[in-house]
Amino acid sequence: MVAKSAASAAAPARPRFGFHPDPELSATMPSTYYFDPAIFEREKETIFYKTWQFVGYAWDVREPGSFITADIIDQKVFVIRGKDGRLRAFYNVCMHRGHTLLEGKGQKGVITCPFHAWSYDATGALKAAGNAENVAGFRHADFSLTEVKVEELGLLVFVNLSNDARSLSETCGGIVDEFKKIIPRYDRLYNARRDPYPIKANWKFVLDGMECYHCPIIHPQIMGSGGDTYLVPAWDVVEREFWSTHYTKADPKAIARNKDKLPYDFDLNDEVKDSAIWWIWPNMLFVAHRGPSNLKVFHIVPTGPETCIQYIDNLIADDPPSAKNLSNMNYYRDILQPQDITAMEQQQLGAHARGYRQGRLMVDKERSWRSEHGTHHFQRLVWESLHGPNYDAA
Amino acid sequence: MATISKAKANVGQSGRIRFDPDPEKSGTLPGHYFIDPAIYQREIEEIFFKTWQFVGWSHDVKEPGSYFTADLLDQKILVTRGKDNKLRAFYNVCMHRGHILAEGKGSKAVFTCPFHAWSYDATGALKAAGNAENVEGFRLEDFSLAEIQVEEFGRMVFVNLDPKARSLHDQAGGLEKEFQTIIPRFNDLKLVHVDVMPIKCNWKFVFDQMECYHCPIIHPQIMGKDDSYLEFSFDITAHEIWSQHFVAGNKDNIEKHKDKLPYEFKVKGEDVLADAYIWWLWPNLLWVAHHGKTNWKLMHVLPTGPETCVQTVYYFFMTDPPEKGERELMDYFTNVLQRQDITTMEKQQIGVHARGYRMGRLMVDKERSWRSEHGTHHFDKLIWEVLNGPNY
Repeated sequence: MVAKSAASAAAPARPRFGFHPDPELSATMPSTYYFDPAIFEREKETIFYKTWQFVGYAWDVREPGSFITADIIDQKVFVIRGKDGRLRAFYNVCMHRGHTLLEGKGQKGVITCPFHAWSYDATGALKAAGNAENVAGFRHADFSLTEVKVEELGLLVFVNLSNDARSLSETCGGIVDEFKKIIPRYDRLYNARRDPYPIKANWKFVLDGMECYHCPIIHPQIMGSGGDTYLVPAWDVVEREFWSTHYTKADPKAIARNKDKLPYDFDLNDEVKDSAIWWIWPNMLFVAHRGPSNLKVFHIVPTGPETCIQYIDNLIADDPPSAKNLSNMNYYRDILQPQDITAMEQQQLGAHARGYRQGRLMVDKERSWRSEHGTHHFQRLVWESLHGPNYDAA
Repeated sequence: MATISKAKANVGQSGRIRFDPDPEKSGTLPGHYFIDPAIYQREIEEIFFKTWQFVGWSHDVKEPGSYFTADLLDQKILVTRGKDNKLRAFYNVCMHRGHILAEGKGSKAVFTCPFHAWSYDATGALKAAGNAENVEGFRLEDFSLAEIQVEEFGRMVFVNLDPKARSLHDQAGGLEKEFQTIIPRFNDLKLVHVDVMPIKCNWKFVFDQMECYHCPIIHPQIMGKDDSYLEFSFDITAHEIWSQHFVAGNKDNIEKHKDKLPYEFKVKGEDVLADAYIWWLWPNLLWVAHHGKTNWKLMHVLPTGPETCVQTVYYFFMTDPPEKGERELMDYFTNVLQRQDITTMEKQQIGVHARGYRMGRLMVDKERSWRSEHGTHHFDKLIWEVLNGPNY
């Protein structure tokens, strides 16, 4: 498995290049990064257990006592609102014998372990443990639940397993203002449908897709094929430290001209005019697609070195969903996603080739619509999580 | 994988507890003991390959020439009775090229390897090897099967891969006597059913369950209500490597609430058990005798990986096919009691991955009440000492 780097001695001769902090000079990540189990283990430690991870929606934890549970890979957590109105998060395990405490979501005044009935309140304090009065030196205070950081970012709830993490709203708060600007009925959004996509590819291939170099080829219906497409070639990336915006402008003339050929039901009067994609490091993508108010929440979760699952929550403002809402959601599910997933899974198979070590990121000076600098942004943060600022590490 | 212990840097407030030889002061085993592949490998070497392991039944090797084969994790075992009536056990592999020698069970005078037809007798001696006469210096006696310690114990056959291991009868003879004295007509019971249950948890979680602190919560049907059929009881008599756990029936309720019993049984009359008994033998065996007409079952747990195991349950009753109450007891045990327990074990397995959990406290009280967790400590302590010696 890990033997590939040695085996790559057989790789074809080519000028020496590698991953580089300057996007214009950089190669892609080496292919072993997409299947090596040791790298996957390190990614868990240095990325997933240290970054803000999406765990659910704020509307599920509004009332005192309401809670949600979530998994961060193999780590069970829950988030609960206390009587004091404060939101807290904990590892979802009893401090006695490690049994899982809560399931699903709901409302609880007291959290009681289903195994030996140890009971905790919403501040994590152990309130009752059967027979504790007869156990030498037992102090309830020694067995509070272990707290983890939690923050709300607009409608979303995130936790961070690292105690040293910088605040999410401090680093990424601007994204909520952008959501509100682009999605007129942002405050009325609810989750109409969760679409899960199990993908036979390393989770990073999903995020590497943050470029439009592939668009005219993989998604021929959206741009570039001889004037009957509905987008102008556009992909404006605005990068911040830990998030970015990717904006594709609609072509009103082309839309008017090709009314019958549009891949789903939308028109120029819809609330969301253009299409915006946002990314939050490391594994969240958001899309507002032209049509009625909508926000697609993409959550990418690795399930092994070579597999992941991508959840797409379809947040919309019309209840029940209108025909336009459904057309918008289904276009993603039935057309765009299969196009992208096919490409990712083919990359996963290809990465194993002993004659391939790494490619070149195609970044141009003017950062054109087809420049791959968005991919570089993501890969650079992965690289620095694994190696720090050392770019000779591969 | 190997990063687990390091990863526990982010532990919770319980960080100051530790495993202690005194049950009243002890924490549980650390969470990573149930996950870490390196600890699992050491357990195989130090526990499964050095303790007495159940491999089969005496009734399968009564006659000279009869044999059975068994797997002890990845080790293939052959048990056979010789013409001299002596029971012997061997690694079930040919000494030529390591091919498996015998399959299943049956009766054989000669064990012939299916690969090159080397033939052994029931004492393990190599009797014939084709072309041996033309092989320079070849001596048949250099290639006898590798013998293993074997003992018959309470109708069962045990082997021990450690040639220096103390006799099982020396270590646990009292347990064999209890089967005979407590279970009516022990020698007449018949093996009528076998259940194989794969479980998604580390094998040790099955034995950590040897406490009744969880009983009123996980098994609400058995104790704690006005009409429960059991008393609040779990009396443990511990010996060096085995223990008896006694659970008293509530005789009044059993009479009064016959219609509410989870399976049909009586506690008065001939050949009945009025109370329930659980026995444990280090490391991986439990036996249960339930209330009612005489019965006995063996629960044999073998790991299949760091986070999975298989439990095999062997049911013994007086009649085969079993009667109505006995069928109900099997159904109750497999589909109610075991399901209740297995659900919690599998939840613990998931839970101990949490970086906010390092270890808990074993809830052991001074009077060793029915809900004290000292039975779990007995098992955990033997695990600890195998892995760490007397270093706490």
